Amino acid sequence: MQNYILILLEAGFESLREYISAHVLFCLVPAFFIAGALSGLIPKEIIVKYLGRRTNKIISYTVASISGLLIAVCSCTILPLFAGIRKRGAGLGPAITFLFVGPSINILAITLTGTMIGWDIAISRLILSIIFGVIIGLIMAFFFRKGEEQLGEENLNLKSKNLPPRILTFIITLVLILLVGTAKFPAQLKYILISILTFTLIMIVIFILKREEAITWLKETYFFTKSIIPLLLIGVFLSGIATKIIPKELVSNLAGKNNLLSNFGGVLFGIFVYFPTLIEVPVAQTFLKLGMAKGPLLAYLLADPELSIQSILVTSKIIGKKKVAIYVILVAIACTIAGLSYGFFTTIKFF
Amino acid sequence: MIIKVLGPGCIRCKTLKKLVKEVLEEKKIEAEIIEVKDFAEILKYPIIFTPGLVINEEIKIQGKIPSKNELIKIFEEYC
Repeated sequence: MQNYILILLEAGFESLREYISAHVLFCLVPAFFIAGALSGLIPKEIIVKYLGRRTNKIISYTVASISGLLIAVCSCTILPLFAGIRKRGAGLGPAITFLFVGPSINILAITLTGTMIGWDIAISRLILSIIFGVIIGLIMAFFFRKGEEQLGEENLNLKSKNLPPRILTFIITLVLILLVGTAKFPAQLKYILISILTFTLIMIVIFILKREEAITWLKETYFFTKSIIPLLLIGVFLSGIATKIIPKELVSNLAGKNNLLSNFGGVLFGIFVYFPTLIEVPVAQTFLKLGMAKGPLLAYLLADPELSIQSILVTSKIIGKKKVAIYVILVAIACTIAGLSYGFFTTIKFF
Repeated sequence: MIIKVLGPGCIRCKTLKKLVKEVLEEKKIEAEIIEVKDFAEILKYPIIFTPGLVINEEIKIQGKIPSKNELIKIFEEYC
């Protein structure tokens, strides 16, 4: 018995060791700084004002789908924002798109997925979230178009704020560091580029950013790190143990092939089993190691941040039970289809 | 003065509450602090960004953590 426990613990630590390897660190650390900048320096009001019912649909849906990247990680940001913009008259479609896309495509989730599981799945997660987010938004807007006329006056013009170019430059520099860090360049080239970019960044922070902006950036970065890293390390540790405990056959039999049932199973697991934000990634990695096929894996990754019992309850208070029911069904279908198509496409590799 | 800190409990909300307590103690102001964590209750206020600071049922700040001085100025309105 003692031996078994030791083996499990070793598995957990091995998992941690694998995880804290240099390349993961290089990617995650810049991502946290980016999240801090996005959350602290981009005025959220900018996004809100484009989500109105009278805004050109192309603009409102585009803004709704990109906003996930700009609004950072906390799911506690998304729900109040969703409620607030609905109250102030945002169109149902763009609001739903925002609700769907937000938890899925934040920078930390994508980076973590890329480094722990693979960049092909991370990019697919990004693209498919946006595509299906818009589709679901459009479908719901169509279904419920009659109710929309009864909404009150639109009041989405909060104190209009602009995005100063210096902040945009700052964020672009940060993103470039992340991109170079994750790119498959020869090591020497990478180090040169990263040094140049880091130097540029420091110059920007000292000479171009306002002092309070720099402080806010660092504070926000610290908030994210403090709230996420401990959970993440625990998640990685436990998933290492889980990989040893859960029988491989169980996973392979249930989800080893890319078929409808497996994908739907992945979705169901994501909906009904709760994990805190970002922990779905180490969980997914465990499944991958145990033999889950890539399709169901993506289906799970898409579904997990979207729907939890709590978020469904809160959302139903905001838009009513009927709309929520349709939303949940649409999300389940979308994630299943996304998983199936991704699984299918990975079998026709052109590269 | 009744102060409500609106937010589901993530680190920003906790930081806001801590800051409010600090300022109240420093300036020796009497006030009741209530944490509103339940979403249904939070959404009764016209709030878009959490965390939110509500004083005597008025939303004073939302979406960011104010500096100590900002907070002091806001409290002074009520004393």
